[in-house]
Amino acid sequence: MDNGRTPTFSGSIPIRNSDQTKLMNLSRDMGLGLDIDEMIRLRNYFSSMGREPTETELQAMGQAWSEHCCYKSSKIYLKKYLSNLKTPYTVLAMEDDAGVVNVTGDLDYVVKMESHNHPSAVEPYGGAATGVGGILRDILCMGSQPISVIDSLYLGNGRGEVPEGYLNTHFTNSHIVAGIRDYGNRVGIPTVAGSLHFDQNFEGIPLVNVGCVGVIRSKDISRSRVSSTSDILILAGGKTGRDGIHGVNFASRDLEKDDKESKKAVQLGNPIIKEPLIKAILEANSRGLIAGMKDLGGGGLSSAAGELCLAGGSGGEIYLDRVLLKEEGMKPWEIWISESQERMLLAVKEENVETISGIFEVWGIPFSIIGKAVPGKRMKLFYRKDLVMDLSLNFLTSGPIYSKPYYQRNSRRNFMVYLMDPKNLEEEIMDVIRDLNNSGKFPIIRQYDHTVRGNTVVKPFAGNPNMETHTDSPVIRLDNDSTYGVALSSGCSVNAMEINPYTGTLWTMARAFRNVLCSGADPHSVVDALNFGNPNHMGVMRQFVRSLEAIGEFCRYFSLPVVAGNVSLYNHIGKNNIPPTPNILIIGVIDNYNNSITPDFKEEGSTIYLLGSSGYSLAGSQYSRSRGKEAGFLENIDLEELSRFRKLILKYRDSNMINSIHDISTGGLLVALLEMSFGSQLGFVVDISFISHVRVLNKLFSESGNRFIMEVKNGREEDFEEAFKGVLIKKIGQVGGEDAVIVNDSQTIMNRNIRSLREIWERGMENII
Amino acid sequence: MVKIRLEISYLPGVEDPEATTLHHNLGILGYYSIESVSMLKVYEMEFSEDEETAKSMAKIVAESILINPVINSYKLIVLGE
Repeated sequence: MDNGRTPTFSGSIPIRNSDQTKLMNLSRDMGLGLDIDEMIRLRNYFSSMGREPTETELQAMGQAWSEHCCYKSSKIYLKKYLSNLKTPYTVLAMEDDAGVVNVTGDLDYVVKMESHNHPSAVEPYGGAATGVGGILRDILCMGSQPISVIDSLYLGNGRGEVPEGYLNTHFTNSHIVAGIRDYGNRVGIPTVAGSLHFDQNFEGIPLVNVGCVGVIRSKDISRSRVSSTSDILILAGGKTGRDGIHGVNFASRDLEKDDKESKKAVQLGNPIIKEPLIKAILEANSRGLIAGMKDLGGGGLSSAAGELCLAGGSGGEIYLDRVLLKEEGMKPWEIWISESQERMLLAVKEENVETISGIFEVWGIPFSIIGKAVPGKRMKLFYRKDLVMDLSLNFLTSGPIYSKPYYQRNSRRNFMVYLMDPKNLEEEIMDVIRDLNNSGKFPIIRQYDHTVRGNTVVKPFAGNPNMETHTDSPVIRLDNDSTYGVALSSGCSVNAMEINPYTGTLWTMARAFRNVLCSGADPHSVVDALNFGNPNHMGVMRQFVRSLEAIGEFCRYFSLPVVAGNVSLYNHIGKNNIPPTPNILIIGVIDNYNNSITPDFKEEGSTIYLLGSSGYSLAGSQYSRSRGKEAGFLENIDLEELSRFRKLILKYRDSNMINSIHDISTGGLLVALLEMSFGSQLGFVVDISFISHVRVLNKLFSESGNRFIMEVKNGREEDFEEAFKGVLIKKIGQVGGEDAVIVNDSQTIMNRNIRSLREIWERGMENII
Repeated sequence: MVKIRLEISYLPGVEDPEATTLHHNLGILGYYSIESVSMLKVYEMEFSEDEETAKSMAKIVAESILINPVINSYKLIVLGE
């Protein structure tokens, strides 16, 4: 039993004699976001302590037990399916703020991905910008230099109805992009990889998933814990304000229109403070002055200080009146749970305090010493002379864990879908090229700085200047001293997820895996950002559990570690849940970035091969989605075949045989061929008669299976066929000319100039951003 | 013809990074007595309507396209004909 000192603070709130109605009223009025079982647990705890809680204590509990902070709905399933996914080269997985993975020698990369969906729905610009800011701090707090920002966006396409009281789609989309652009560009970290998906189901509920990769030498890794029970705690960076109060509580429940809580949770982010903060932290860390470090994200000081002390086996004493404030008159609980941006909490040995203060002064970073680690397991907060909180850290972090029920069977009825042959196939092809999800994404990605810091080897686009095409996965070199680079691919096959969350997740994983291979890198680790609807809905929980199962299976098959992740639930408006969207980031490692491969055609007269097998079903394709037929039976992914591709592509990458590779994904074979051609304006003549017996629509637009298009160097065809005889390959045509020519069963189904096609492709997004 | 000025500002409590940085840097340059800096976005629109219609149209444009009520407030000023 706890025997904490009774606070002298006059703000005690009586709950020991409250009935259920009073408890729920209290939870609502104080914005705690706790439900009745949790409130009863709190009441019983304080009854056993023989005193009433203070306002600060209740607020701290509300925050610590929110879905966002304690993963109460998802933890049990995450443990079941994603634990024990470590490999010998994994340094830290799911332990600290970000995952750390070894590349070679003492060279490691640090990676993390998070969703910032709820803030971005309420204030798109600030929500997206602070998403970038938050993920940079996650990487920074491991002591690592951020080298690339990754963003995967799932946005409305303007075709659905935005419910009243929500921001219109155009405003939301353009402000989300502006937020990422402004923060990333101003802070000087390139925004290199990511994905974009438009669907009417994201109208009003956009998903903003932001990731970051950093580089570090093993000896410099800073842990997210105090190193001893005498460490001094320093809060550095931005000042603390009322902004962002109750951010996590609000992210852990339903979005409601005109939500008063949501208005307090809004911030714009300040990259201009962040940039010197990164410099100062890295300098202090490289000089060995930081004993432990944690960033202040969702949950604010409360989460950061609690976790930092608990992980280091100590308690803490914090003096809230020493925290630098943006505004007068903040209450102690507001200081404790504020989620103001740009702040870092550092544990520093007493003898280093002076040196580190000097560094912060040089860089102009506001900082203050706010407390210290102490022996024991209690967190005590003081404000002026009052003790305002005295709680056991074990209790604070012992949030409830729910085993939420889910449907065992798929409630959705699957049926075969038959799409009628279009009257005019060529017109249909043009429609596919200008489809929002198939077309060029330049209006958005060109707003981001890809090359700042000068380490971007493969950009998000490749080919002739101003006439580029998209690459499968951009490559960043890790540092100046080695030839190692990382290839990044992030995204989700939303159309497939809507049909079957298990197979859809395998599609998503396989797609990211293939993308990384296409750049010539070896898939190395996995990070997930899992976005789902309301977890109290059994159908949504089924999607979540099935999706986790698939991630676990895929990673075990390929011995890939899941090193970091994040879960975002309650993405719904009323009964409209978002499609299940597990965003998967796969990081590949390439030993020599000079040998990276890009997808643009390189050589006139070279031969085009189609690699890999498929049943050519249209289920899960963008084509059937755009025709309103999103059902069907999703084809399974042949993992064994994918594994053979991994070996072959990596083995023959440097054999001077492969000019370019591109993965067949959104838009199918047609879009993949055109994208390869758009980068160099080299045309092609392709005959698809013999790739399968299916209809021409399926041949052109199916996205199933593990398929690649490979451009093989002129004169090396025999070597290639010999080398790749273990997998299904078909010679389908040649690169050359200025036209895209596709022949099927002796009929020319398309013959158009590449430049005119490119124009249509480039303009696909014209009306959305 | 009616000319309307639309001034968009941040709500109290929303920290504008550009204004904050400007304020901070003015301090570095020695302008210590500046207590605060805030930035506004101003649109001037000319309408071929009467004042009432123009005002209501400007209001719709502001609320549905130009501002987010969660962070912004706005003022409509009729500049005359």
